Amino acid sequence: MSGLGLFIIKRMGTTVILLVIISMFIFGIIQLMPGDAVDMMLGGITLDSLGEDTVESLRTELGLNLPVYQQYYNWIKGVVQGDMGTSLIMKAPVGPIILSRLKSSLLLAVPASLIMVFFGLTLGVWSAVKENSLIDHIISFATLSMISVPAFLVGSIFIYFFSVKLNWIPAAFNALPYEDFPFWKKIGFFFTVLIFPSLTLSFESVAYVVRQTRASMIEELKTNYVRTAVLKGVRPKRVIIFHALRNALLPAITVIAFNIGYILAGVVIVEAVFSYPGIGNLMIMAINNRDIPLILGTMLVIAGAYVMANFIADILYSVVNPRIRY
Amino acid sequence: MEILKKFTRRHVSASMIIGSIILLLFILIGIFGMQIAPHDPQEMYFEHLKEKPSLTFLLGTDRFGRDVLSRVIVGTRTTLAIAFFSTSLAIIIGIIVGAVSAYFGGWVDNLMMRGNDIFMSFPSLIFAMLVVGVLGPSVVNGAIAIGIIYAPRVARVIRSSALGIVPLEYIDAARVRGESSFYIIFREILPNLWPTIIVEGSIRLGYAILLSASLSYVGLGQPPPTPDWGLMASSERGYMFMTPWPVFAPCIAIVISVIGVNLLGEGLKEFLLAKGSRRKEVVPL
Amino acid sequence: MTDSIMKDSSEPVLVIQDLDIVYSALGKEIPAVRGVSFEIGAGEAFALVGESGSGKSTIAYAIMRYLASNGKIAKGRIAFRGSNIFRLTATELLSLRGAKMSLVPQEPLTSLNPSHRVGNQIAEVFHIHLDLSVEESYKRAIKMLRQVNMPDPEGMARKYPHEISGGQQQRVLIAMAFSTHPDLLIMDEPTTGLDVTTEARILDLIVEMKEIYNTAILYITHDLGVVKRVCERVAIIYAGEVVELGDVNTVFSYPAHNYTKGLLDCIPKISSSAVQERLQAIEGFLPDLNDLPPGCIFSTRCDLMEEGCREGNFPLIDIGSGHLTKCVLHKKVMKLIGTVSQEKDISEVSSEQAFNKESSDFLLEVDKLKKVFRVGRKNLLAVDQVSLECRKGEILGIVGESGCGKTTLARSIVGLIPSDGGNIHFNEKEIPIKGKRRSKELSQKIQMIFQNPDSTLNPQKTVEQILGRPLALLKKSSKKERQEEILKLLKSVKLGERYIHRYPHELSGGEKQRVGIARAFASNPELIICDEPISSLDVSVQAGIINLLIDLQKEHKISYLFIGHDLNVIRHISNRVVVMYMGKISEVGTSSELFQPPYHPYTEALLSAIPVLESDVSVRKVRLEGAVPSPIDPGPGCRFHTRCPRKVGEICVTTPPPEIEVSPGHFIYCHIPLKELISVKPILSIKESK
Repeated sequence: MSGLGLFIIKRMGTTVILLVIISMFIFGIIQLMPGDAVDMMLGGITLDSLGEDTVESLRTELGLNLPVYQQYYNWIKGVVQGDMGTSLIMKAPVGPIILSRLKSSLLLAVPASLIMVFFGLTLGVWSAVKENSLIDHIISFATLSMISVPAFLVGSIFIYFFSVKLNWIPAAFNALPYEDFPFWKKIGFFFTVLIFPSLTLSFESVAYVVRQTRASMIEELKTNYVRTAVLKGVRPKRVIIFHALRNALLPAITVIAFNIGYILAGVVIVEAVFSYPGIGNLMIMAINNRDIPLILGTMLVIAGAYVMANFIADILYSVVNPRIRY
Repeated sequence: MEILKKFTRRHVSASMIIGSIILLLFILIGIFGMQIAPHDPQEMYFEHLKEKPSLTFLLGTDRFGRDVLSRVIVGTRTTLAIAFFSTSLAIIIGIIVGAVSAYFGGWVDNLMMRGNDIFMSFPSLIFAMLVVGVLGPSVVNGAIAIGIIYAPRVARVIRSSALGIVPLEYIDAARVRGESSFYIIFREILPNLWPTIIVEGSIRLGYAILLSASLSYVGLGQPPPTPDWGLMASSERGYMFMTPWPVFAPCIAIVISVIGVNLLGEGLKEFLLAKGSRRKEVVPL
Repeated sequence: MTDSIMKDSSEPVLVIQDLDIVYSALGKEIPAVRGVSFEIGAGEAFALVGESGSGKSTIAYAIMRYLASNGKIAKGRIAFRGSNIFRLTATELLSLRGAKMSLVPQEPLTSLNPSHRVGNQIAEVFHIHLDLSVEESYKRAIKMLRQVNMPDPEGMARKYPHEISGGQQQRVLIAMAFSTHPDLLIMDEPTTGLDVTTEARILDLIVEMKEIYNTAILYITHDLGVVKRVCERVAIIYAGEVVELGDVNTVFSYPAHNYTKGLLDCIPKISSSAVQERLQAIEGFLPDLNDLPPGCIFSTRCDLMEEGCREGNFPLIDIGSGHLTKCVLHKKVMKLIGTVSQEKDISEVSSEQAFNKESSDFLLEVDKLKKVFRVGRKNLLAVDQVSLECRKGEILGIVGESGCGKTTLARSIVGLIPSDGGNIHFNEKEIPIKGKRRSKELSQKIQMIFQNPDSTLNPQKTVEQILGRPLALLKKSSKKERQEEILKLLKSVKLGERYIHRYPHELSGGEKQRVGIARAFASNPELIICDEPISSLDVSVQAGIINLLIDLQKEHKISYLFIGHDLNVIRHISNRVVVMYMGKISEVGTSSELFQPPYHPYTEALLSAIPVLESDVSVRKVRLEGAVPSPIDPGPGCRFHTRCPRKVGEICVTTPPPEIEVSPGHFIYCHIPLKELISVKPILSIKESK
């Protein structure tokens, strides 16, 4: 196990380096934005009416006249210390805003990921075992359709039927008081209301995981060692689970990690459709208002979450796969 | 002639035919949209606001009284243009990076793949939002953003496919006779990658349509008066209780076009990649 | 031993009667197996021998009722212990497979589950069939591993398949197959792909296990030498039909079917004297199973074919004591037998035909070549200070097992991989180590023929493009000139004009290899490195390629470095042979010098592993223990000391072996004094005539 420990530490190192490069990348690309934070803050006000001095002092105050690398250093130093700057439009520290929005988003994303893993694996295995049967064709066609549908259409359909027609769920989720609900009511609320955006979020990913699991299961079922197992007299169920699925899990883990990325990005669309107050809507607002500290913060958090998901998948992969040498 | 002979012996599936018909139809609509559209997509019929489908307005009208069908038809061009342009960009960069990386291996490969990892650490929509948000929404910026985010993903596929070819003996034979690296990459390796490239291209095209629609859904596509599928679906969202058509019509256009592309991709995969892969024994259950 | 088994085998374990198997593909029914009948008695080892596409594996898997979904039994029956396999219920089948009937597959690595420890994979059999607890099953698994002579069975049981060597993987599968004491064991080419010395030990193990358990064995193979060592009876199968069946010694000594005789003649004889003597290749190809020729199935390739052979039925006819053949001309075939084998003493292998050592200049001189691969933080010494030279017009053989560095050495010489030390002289001028630094002219002078016919040609190019490119590089600019040259090349490798527009997938394995040879000759080289050019081909095709290579070499008066793992083939083709082990040369000498004492101890083992078909040749048994050790940091001594059966002592571990010059040009690198090396008995010797 010490080998594994060393491997984890090594991967952690590269993950940190990756995060630093990503932060530089985000910060660098933001510099391409025409105008700077002060221009954004001033909005429509012309520079002349304020006077050069005021503008300059504002810039100095925000550190915008420093060279870019110095600005980056100041920003990342703040990020590490938990200070991501102040939002220009919300006039409040970015960190806490993101944190509360992130919590709401995770309320959708975590169940969506669980749905993806569970249905993705089971339907994928089922489809592979019944290769070329009716059920396999149905699943194949369904998943092909699912990956062809934009998330906002799925969300819109849910809203149209369950909000407009049946009035089960609100058309906009941003004014819901569920934060104050007692625990059991929160659970009930989740299953009657939040399940819809969550399903929307997992819709495409389920299909991807099913397709990957099916494909790799079919491959595994054709391997020589599955033949060995069958000719050893192993029962079909045990062949599938103990021999084939064990190995088919490896590509499945990779594709699940990729799809966590889809889910994290899907949050943006799903929150837009359901007007849900999460980090996705926050990001759209930040971009539309050119709120630089908020853009930086939300981007960094989502990219960071994705990197972490991949890191965990990597570790899991190496635990499951004995062929990897640390 | 020989190539034709080689191809005709292969299995042409129904999904490939249906897929190519759909895609061709959309391309035609994209080119001749203005001529086909029954109404001017920008014309506002103020006496026909938010109407349900009728004979005059086959898919109804939106909140400004514009004909939904015409807007969907004319909106085809933007989406397809972004999708095709970005896919081509991604494929070209992907081929170069992937093939060069696989052929040279060593530190060249390492450097390029680490670079790839950085781009791949962003979910694609997030990256596209960042780039378009910074550069400003336009067809070109959207296409560049999507092309850049997909290039590393394409490169990875091409690289892994090329890695299967680089150690083969005919590549060694080319080296032994003193061929240049350029010749080996583009004349010996590349011809064997075309099936992978075509299949990957069709898959990416579907993704690109969805991604560009998603971008315009969050307001990072075309500026408002232009008819655009994603934008229509999001801006008419609030009026669904009166008529859902302005939301669903562009969505259905997206779904049909993407299904078409995906069917084509599936068909091409069978058609091009199945070569020589003999059906192995299946476990009797 | 054979007799005692025959007596108690009153009831055969397996009976196959008039079996037809068809595959349906693209709407057509392909008759893969036709009218096959044979039976196997208890404790009997029965071989089913055929080349690829003969249907031998199909039969093997049909016996276990494991056919591809598009395959079915069209006619006949397979009865195991009296019951029809295809009438069993699913439960009966489960308790049959792995319990009463087991299989040892080909490709041991892919046949073991990569995610489970080997001990658990064996234990599973006990758990399923004997209903033992998990711990008890595991204990039994370790016992089985000990029985198959696995070193450190407890430790091995905890390893994953990829952590053990190919030979050990096969031992695991053999242990698994024998663990339930099955009545019938099917072996599907269990030693194909293993090194020769490993193969020899696995075959010993199979014989030993068979004697312990008295198991009936169906042995599927293409290798006649293996059959001779393991089996009592043999059936020769060709294009889905059994063409000859009988006692192994009878069939091999007196083949009664021209196909069998052809197969036997394709293999260089141990007792034959001549170096580079022409082999008898079987011309033509396996018939298309969709379009079978009328009459005798082999008639399309038979050199004895007569009018009557192309029509009518050819049933198996008994020509005495259970020797069956389908050939109506069997008398004619048997009359020809004597003409091939020549009675001569092995030790007299003619040196007069061998290449005259002093007659010509050096073409290639390799001096202290070294190649180190980085494996993680460690160094793998693939080639360690190897020096050799090849004269003009000489064929220099390099022989060794996988991982001995022979291929790395070859690739370094052609410049595909840069070596890390030493230098190479070509035509007495030093040439750059890196291929990129060599001039185009120089690159063209050193060409290569590759191992794998399926990857040697670019599938996207026609034969014309493949052969045209090296010609274009030679500045033969006019298209017409090139066209003519291509046709000439094709003719020289015995392919007709009609091949010029074909793509590689339209060629057979042997034809692809011929195009590969033509491509090497297109550059007008002086030296060709042949990297195991025949090892992926069927036996009947191999002989034709060997003949072609020898003819071309004589015609063009060029030199070959011929790399291989089969000492018998190497001896047949080469003037001199270099024996390599773990990156070092262990012995160099002419072909005849290698086959008689003094031997390097490793050469002894290699010689002893040669499959011998002649019944009048006796082989002294020398077996190597263990696997080739890790080539990472091998230490200062002799590389062979970990497995050497004649290890002198500590000196072998600490000191590099000295060079012993037995005679001019014959070197042995060993600590054993020359006197002792000479004193051993020859490995291969002709038996005293009775």
